Amino acid sequence: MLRLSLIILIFLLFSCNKEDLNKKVSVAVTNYPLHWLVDRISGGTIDVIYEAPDHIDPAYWKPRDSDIRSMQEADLILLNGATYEKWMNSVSIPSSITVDTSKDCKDMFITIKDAEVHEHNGVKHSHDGTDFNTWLDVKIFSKQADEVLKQLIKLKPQMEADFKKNHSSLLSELKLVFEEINKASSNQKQYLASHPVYDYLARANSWKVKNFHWEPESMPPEEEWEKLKEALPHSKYMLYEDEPSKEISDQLKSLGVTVIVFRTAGNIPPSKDFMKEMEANLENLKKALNP
Amino acid sequence: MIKLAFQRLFFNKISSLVTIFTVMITVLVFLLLNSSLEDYKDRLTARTNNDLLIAGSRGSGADLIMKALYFRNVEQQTFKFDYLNGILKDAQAAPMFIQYSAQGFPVCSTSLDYFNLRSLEVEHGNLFTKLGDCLLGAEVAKKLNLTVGDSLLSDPDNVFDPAGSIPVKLKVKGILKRSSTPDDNAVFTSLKTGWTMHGLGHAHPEEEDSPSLKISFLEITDETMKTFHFHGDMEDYPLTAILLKPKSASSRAFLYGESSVTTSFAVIDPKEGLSGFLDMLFHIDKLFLIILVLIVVAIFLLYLLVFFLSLRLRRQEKNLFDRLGFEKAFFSRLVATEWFILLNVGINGGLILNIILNPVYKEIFDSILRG
Repeated sequence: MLRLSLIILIFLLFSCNKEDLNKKVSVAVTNYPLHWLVDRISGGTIDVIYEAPDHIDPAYWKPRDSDIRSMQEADLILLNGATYEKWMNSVSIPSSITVDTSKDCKDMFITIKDAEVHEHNGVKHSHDGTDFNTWLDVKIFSKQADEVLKQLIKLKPQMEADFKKNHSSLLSELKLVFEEINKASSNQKQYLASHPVYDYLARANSWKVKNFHWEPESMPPEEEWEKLKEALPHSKYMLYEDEPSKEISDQLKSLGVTVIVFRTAGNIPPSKDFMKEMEANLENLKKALNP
Repeated sequence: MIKLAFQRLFFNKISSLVTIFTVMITVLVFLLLNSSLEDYKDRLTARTNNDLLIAGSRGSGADLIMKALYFRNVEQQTFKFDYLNGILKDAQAAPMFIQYSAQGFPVCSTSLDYFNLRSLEVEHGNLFTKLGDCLLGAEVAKKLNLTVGDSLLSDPDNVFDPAGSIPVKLKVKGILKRSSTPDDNAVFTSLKTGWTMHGLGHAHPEEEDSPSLKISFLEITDETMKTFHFHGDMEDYPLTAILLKPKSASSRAFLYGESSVTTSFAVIDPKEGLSGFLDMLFHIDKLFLIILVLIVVAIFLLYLLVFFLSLRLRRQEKNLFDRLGFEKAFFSRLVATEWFILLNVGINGGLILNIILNPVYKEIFDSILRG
């Protein structure tokens, strides 16, 4: 009888530990690059809560009550920081589980001054203040990846070795693709940008970029085309966040401007993989610069 | 014998009832007074009987505890939110800003960590999610007859200061489960909502219906959020206290050590901070108990006097029993049985009354304590 009780007790203890080890934890993130970091580093062992809808730039997304509640229930909330989460002032999330992944990179942030107010997807906004597209600077993004690794290890210490291995290969891949972007653009340092979202990329590659506020799907007004004509001596390569409409493409072509689609992947990209998207951007750059 | 005693008591209904009633009242008063003091002591110590520490401006520790633990209306100097950053690596922390009230109940503006640290559960609705949301303590919801979806206004701080705080319309997002602590009598909001009440964040009304003096309160809506903003650096915003749960024994020691070298900031253990007050309370408790026991003894002596007097008054009755041939001790045994019955009924009646009246008494006692 005593032996049987001991066997049951040992079985119960082991089953508890196993349950503990396999317990799924959830991490809420506020943009796709963080989603990708968590997925890659954890190897898919962690549930990612990402509430921003596909059609909205997460930087201008306003979470609903149900979105905030999902975040409140997460084991960890990862913020991009650099003023990315503009809704932070109006919502309540537990500070003890909230981590700003770029908090140690403040000295590397870029500040945009006197940016004009414009509208897309019905949302008025300005890019004034801190540039939040931090993931386009591999140095900042690597530090964000380090912070994500640190926090994930805290959540699942038993997975530390796996997480570190995944993190290390991720950093190598990131470094490689951004080095390739640098190499590919070594002979072309001046660009036009359809949107002021490439400043980190420009700094990392010593590019000089003239920013516009054009959307891929809406035809810019005549005065914008005039501005573009004035900027043509600066560069005839225009970076676009997405494939512009045929109408825009044709007009740009007629002015001798080559469109380079460079998706920032702030929200889930078509390929549903940040690295694939950066590789596609690299290919687009190579194709445009070395036709 | 018992039958005879009952018959005699029944025959002298009025005197029997008066005696029973007197005993009942004595027992009831003793139990109620004793329980109220015990209850007060328990509540005071229960709030401190955990590993939580309190951080706040250096000054009166007792005032800080009264404000942060019991939401009492005492003056407490605020400190900058920035202090929180230096603490987070060593402790789970819930910053608190307690300065305003809503329909007479204290408003504790805090982070969601507070509910975790205090093990508070939401009974109806959810935790607050947005600016302008609030959670009600069980007692507040009951007294104000509010439920999830209703709203209440925060009380104005100074109606003659147009640049200062303005009342904020608070939307009830949830009601907390009763905890029998001061949390039952408080309204909870996010820190940002608290700072909005303080006038640090505001919206600009549409110009056509603007004159700012027309605004009697601020309601957070999608419309007001379009122009809503906070002024200045949030790191400089005020806090009243921080509730802390150190991550380890060494973190606890570190927090104490850090606070001992700063002149403006202190980390205190509520148990130690209240020790002087609790000592005094324990002395009062002892004194109170002695007085109660003395009163009971005096009443007992009075009963004894009445008992002996009744023996004298009932001499004829005794003689009658003697003449009827009953043994000598019979009459004494009869009287003792009568008193046994009276005391038994009186004491048990007192105990039953205590069970019935204790909740009502506690409610009255609560309202007295809250002022």
